[in-house]
Amino acid sequence: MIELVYFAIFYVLCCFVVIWRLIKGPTAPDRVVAGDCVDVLTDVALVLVALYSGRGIYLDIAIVTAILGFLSQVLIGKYLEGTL
Amino acid sequence: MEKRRRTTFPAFLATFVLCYLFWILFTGSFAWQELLAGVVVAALVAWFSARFFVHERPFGFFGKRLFVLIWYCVAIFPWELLKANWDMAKRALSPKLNINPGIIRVPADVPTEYGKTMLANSITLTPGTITMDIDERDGQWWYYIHWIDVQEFDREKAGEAIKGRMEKWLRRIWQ
Amino acid sequence: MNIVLRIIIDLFIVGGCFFALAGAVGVVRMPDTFSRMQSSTNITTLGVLLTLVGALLYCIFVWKSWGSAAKVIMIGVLTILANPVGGHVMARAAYRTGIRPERELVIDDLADEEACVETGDGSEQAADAAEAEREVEEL
Repeated sequence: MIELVYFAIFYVLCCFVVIWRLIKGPTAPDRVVAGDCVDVLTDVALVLVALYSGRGIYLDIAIVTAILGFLSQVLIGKYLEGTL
Repeated sequence: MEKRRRTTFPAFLATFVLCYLFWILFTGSFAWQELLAGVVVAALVAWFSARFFVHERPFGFFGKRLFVLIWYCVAIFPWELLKANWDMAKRALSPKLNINPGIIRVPADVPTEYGKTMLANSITLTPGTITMDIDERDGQWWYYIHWIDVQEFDREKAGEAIKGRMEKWLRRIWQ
Repeated sequence: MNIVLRIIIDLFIVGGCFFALAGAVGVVRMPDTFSRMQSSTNITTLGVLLTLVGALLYCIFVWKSWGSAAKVIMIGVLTILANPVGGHVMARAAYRTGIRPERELVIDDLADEEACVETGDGSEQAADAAEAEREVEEL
């Protein structure tokens, strides 16, 4: 199914759209939220590439990426609030 | 906000069983070396995290409440999710943005800590609303919610519009 | 492979792509910090969920492997649980840092009521420090 690769490329293009907000955003929480959005979108692109290439190991990398993205967002949020 | 909890043995046992099930799910093989390594790793993780994971009696969840929970997760909640997401996607993509944001305070009442967390998560997952804070005043719990299109200024009616069906079902689960 | 199965899987993945594009455009276009958080967490989560349902159908019917299907379900459950919590933590941190939007309608989240949470943390640490001092004195 060749269209899985096209959808994965589409998700990566959505990431580039969000990176513009990462560069421009005037405040720090803007940048953190855009970074987490990039994490989630590349996670789904990894799952689609795993289905196309037939290797199950990319799914494990996708789980770890999701966990690390969530952890970094919560950690930076707690630090900005002051209750780390 | 809460007192310090000691690690009790039933809480440790419940967390250990859950971690071990996840280990078997992720490795997917039943060789004896993997099972032994799973016992060691699951015991270590459960010893560190059982204090934060279990707030009430650990094994009291089975029975009728499990089926109501599954029905809530599979049938009630995705319909609300899809409806509100379609509305918000139209708002994000249309040529002129019609948003008028505001932070409003609604009263809510769900019994345990798990229930309050689940209600806050359900409100945040429904698009257009993000739970910002939970506070208690005069014996009544108030949720502070950021709403992207404020239609009602009265607090009771706003609470009905935001979380009407979900709170009824959640009260049935966490009785 | 069946043509009907292929069309159903493609429909789910295209639906997910549409919502992901709406979320990404919303993050760029919204005029306000809190509205950008709304757009990024909520819409992107549904897009991810629809795509993962399509991937789950592919795992079950084409690969016929239940281990991979369990891993895809685990990614979906983790995303549902983790994205709202992350969005809530960032919204609260942005509010406490002092970021306010330009135009407000009903602002009820005044600063003096939430200050009780900070003194709650401080008093718990002070109580622990006092207890440790008493134990050291008894030795």
